[in-house]
Amino acid sequence: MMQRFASLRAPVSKLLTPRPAFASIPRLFSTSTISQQAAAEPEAKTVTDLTPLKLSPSASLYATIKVHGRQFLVTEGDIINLPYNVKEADIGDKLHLNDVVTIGNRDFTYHQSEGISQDLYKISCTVIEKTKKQLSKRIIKQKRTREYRRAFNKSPYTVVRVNELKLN
Amino acid sequence: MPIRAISQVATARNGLGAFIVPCKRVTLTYCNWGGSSQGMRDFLTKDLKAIAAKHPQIEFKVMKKEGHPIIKGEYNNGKEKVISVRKRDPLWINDKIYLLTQQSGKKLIKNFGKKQDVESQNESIRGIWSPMHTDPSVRHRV
Repeated sequence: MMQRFASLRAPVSKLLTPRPAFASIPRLFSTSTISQQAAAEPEAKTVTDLTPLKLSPSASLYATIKVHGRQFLVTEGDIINLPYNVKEADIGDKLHLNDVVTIGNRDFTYHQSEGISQDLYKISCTVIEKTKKQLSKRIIKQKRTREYRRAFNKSPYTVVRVNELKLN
Repeated sequence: MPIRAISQVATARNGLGAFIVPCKRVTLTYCNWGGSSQGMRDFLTKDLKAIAAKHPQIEFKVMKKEGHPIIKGEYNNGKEKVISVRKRDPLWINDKIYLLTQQSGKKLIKNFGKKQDVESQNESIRGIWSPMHTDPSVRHRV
């Protein structure tokens, strides 16, 4: 355990070496600009290799998924409370989650902020419940007036359970 | 007699493998005489058959009972929810039956914060952070 962490953190210790003296730095700010030609060149398409994730001894995975832009960190068997009514689905329906930002386990993490390719994983969930919250009451009143009215709201939410989370 | 630890029992997590509909029965009452049951009578004669065919897992029970009509949902956790449908039209009753069939019988919660967005029974996958497992050269010294 100790050794594993030490090997992972090796580059960090290099970063934390004491800084050289202020006077020895020749120039504090660089004036270089990013050349447009270099940016226009198409990047080489890299094939993501997830063998470290698949073969590591800690088998259980976690994933950070996005539903309507909101992020949830889930594992298999978790419940997600979605704070809106999913109109398209009834209870018992299966949903496939296709907007995933991170997949990882204890040792390794694969992160793509623009979204991981859908061929690499399979994450699905079942709608368990479609219900509402308690009735909330709110008094709406203006200053220096005696009149007021009450606003009532029962906001809906949908409960889903993640029943499949695996790498292909 | 030696003390034995309780053996761990598998926790019930509906939907992880099979999914069982939590609502087991919906009871509808009506009165043949009262005017407040007019919408309910229309609903029973026209719409109920199609709805019952749509939910094969749920038992629909129709009762003739004097007084205002109600609909009642009974759930697997032993709870029941009652909604009065006095003087309501068939469309309104249809919406409320949909609501009863989609719920799980739990008490309605007041609100949930950001930490209750995901409820997990699994152990933390990335573990708990410990100062003893950091690199000694970087470790904070008191």
